[in-house]
Amino acid sequence: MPREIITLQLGQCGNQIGMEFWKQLCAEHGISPGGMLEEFATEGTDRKDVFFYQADDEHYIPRAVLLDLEPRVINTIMNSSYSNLYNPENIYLSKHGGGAGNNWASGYGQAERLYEDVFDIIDREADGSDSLEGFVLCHSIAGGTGSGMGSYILERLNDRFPKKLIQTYSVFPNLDEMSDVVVQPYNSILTLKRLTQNADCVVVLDNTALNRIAAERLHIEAPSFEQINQLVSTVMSTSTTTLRYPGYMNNDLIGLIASLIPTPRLHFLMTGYTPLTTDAQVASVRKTTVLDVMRRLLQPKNMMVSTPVTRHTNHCYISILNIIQGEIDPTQVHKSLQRIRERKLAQFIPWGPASIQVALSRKSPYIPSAHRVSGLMLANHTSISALFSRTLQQYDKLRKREAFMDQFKKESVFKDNLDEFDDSRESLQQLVDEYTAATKPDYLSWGSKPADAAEGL
Amino acid sequence: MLHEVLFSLLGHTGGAIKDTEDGFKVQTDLPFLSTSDEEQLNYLCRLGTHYSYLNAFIKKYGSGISLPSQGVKNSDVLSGLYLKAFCSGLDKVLDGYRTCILELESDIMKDPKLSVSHLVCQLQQYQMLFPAMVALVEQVSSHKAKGCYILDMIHRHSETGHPLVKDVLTRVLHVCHGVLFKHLCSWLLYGYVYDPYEEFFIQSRKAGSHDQSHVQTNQSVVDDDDLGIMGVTGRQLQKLLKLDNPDPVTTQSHLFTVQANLLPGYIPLRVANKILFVGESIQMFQDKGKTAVKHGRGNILEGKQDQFAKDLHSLSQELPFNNMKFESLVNDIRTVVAEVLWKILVEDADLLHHLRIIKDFYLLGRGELYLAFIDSAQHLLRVPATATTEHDVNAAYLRSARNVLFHDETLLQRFRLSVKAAPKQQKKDSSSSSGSSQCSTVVEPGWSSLALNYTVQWPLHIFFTPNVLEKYNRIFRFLLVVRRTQLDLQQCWSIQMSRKIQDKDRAEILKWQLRNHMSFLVDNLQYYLQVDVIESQYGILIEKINSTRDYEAVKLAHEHFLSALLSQCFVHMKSVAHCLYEILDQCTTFTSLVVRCEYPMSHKDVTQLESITKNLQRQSSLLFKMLSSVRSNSSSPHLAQLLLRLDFNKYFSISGGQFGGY
Repeated sequence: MPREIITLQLGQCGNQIGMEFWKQLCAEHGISPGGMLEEFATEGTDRKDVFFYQADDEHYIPRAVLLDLEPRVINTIMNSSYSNLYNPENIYLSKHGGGAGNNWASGYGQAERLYEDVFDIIDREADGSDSLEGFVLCHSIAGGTGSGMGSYILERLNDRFPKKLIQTYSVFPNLDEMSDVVVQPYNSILTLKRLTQNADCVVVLDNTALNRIAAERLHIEAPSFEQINQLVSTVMSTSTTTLRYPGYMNNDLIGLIASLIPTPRLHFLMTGYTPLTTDAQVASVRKTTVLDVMRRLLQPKNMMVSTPVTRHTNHCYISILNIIQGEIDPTQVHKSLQRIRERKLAQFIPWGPASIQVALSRKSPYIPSAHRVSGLMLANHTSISALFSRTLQQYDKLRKREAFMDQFKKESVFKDNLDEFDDSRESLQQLVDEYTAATKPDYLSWGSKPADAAEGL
Repeated sequence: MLHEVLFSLLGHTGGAIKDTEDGFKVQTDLPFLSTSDEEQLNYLCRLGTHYSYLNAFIKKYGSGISLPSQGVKNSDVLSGLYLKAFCSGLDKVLDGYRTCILELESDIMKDPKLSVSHLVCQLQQYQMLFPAMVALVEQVSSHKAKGCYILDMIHRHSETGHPLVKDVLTRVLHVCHGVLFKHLCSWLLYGYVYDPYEEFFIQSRKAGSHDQSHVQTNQSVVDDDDLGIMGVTGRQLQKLLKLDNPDPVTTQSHLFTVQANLLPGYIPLRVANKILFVGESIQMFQDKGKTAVKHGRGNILEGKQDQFAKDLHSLSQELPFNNMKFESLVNDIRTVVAEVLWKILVEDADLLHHLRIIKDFYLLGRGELYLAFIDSAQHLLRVPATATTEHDVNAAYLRSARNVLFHDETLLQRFRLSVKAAPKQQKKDSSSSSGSSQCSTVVEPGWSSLALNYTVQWPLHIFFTPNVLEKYNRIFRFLLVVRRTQLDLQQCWSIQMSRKIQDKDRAEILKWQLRNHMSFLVDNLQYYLQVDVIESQYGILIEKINSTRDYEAVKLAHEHFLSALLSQCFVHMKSVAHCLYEILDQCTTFTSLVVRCEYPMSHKDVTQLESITKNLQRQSSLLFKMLSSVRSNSSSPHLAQLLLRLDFNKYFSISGGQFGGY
């Protein structure tokens, strides 16, 4: 059973990173932009069927659903060489094409109205797979479509497919520069509530950090969308590599994420990747051994989430999974783990067992790499709460002034009251509190009844 | 008178010299002899005594062709090629003595005044030699020595300070070596033993009826005892062979053995083992004539035979026997054979590819295949196996393989799962019939008797013997249990994830905490097994195979690989293995509880949960103690490796080596 995964791409951002993701997958599996298997790739032992299926004429079709409320990005895709890759039935553009106007409520409301059409597509796609394992959602939390429509679809997916996993790749807005979307904090907070309650795993792609990495690590002055999205697609494709290249472990999505998430709500993952190079950069090949890679992955500068150095709390790792690819001497893994522990390079939670899990994975034979070893880290780290705290602060600032509230009040969700905002804020505050609690030894009794807590200790 | 003396020296008695109980003696009452003469003559006569003894021995054993007939099973009768060679060697040496006597006779004829003293003087050298030879002959006959054992005796007797004795016995030995070299030649170059008397130090083991008839003539009860000398009694051996797959192709590799009691002391065991290896290898590839022809090889020594035959011949001419040269020649041949075998295995048969297959299938390298398989076979194997289980399981296996797009059908056909219908014991017992499954009281799920069979292709059968595959199977079963438990716990995880609203209930918190700890333990055990053990050892093995061109080195590397796997997967470490199985057992119980129980949990379920928690705590603390007690012990660094993973953030040690607590 292939344990298929259906990818949902929502909104401008979601479709952009989705497109890069499929480009990357096609390149790794030797599939042409038209969906045909390249001559050199016919002997492969990879598993294309997790993310693709084959049409009657043998060509590969991504298990992807493309949704947007405005045509710009999807038109770009349809005008690119990859236009024939996707199943045209799976591309849904809202008829009026006016977009969601960067308004969460608008996106949410429109999704409600388009429910039948959208879930027709998703249902058909789900029925077409033997043993669907789950959904992967690509979106941004700041815009209108990705956040609003994404939120609605998350809720409904939970109802309709209660047994399926939902993983999201969620792009967080860049907080370093002034955004053209002034209501970003509103959108973010409303989306984050759904991500907490309806998703099983959220891979956080922080635009702030991505820009920083592009500037500092890759020395690109003004990184373009393409360059940033390339980083994203690298993370996305590497994090699915154990699903696509059969190995001894992590052969399904649940195996990949279950060990990372010990409690249901702490499911926001950071990523790190090394070594990073771009096409333009002629790789200055550094020494890459397993230890080097694992050590670099633990450095904050390689993390794709920007978290300020914390003052009050000792943030720590809840869990780490390193996916290492390339020519690896497996005996090095143990030595590296030992070294990392001796040097105390990673701080772990005090309330439960935790370790660095290292999965060795094959990589695509069709993509040359200058590096012997490369690695992706998926980490559950409590400092991710800083990202949420920041969002909360910005939200509070706006909310105090009741700024831009009018356009939200127009939509059906907020017609009667603004309870949904308060609800979401509380939910996010709770999440921040829980992450903070998770840095302390008594986390397990956090939030339970005082009497019970005493008993538990 | 002197003529009579000469006669007596050649073993013929006459009037004056009689054969008494003490050997040849001069009549005591001869008037013309003084006591000193008598003494002198008697001294001389001792040679005659010895000579006649030796001559009689030669006459008795040295002539005639006496192939062992079926009727004669009397081991008292000495026979054999080596004995014959020994006799002819003795005879040859005695020639010198005879010539000497002849010369003396002509001396006497020429000079009638020659005294007895002249004879004594001329024959003095034999006074030392003959007793030594007689002693040797006596030992041979009293020990009923046969075959190469005779060589050993001769050699031991020749190790003496007396130059003549040494010289003579070396010559005798040389004659006997003629036979040995013939044997060696046929064995080393053609893998063939013609040995009707069972004298060669390489002997075929007494195998089943499928053995070649020419080496298996009349094995008597005595031979069973011979096998006993090596520490294995014939009966045990027979049992062993019966346990083996009765497929002649696979058993052939161990048909021969070095007989320690026939091995001459001056050929070291290591050389003998090399000789054994060479012959066996050659034979192995010769017996399969049909396949060999297909592979374009009649004999794996192709082209080198002549040269080695020449070398062996020139070595056999050399006097005395040159041990160093012998060993280096054997080494040369072995190197050639080992390299040819290496070529056949590694290059022609693509051993690396097959090791990969073994790793993928036996060591769960193809994780996705077993993921699918466990899914589809779970309901079949969770319950005790029935007569149809095996068939269903195989169908499920094939289905899973096809589902994960495994397209190599021919490879897939070579794998077959077997499930014992009557799981009584772990030992492989092919005769277990399906009918007896009902009366079995032990309720063991089908999983515990699951075995993977792999039809090994020629010539890899010499590498993956049934014994080796059985070892792989033991690891396979263990890995499968770990994998299954992991999947079970993941199922619990998705149940836990569906409750994203905060739990206030203490039992709930306890439950999920327990799941978390169990998952952690099993996940890390799995990582340890796959990365620290299998991947690491596999890397070492591949590196070794690539760095050598010697079959035996490859085989040795593989044996190391396998034994490292067995010990580091704790299959050979009863205490740890038992502990791990207990923990995995608790995980399974826990899973069924979680899947079954409702929210909130009933009182009964809470009680069960608490008992699971207690058991896990006990077992994990036991595990912790075992792992940390040997941490300092450098002999088992793998335990420390597992501990490092389990105790990475020191939670394990801080919590007193217990999981499941909170």
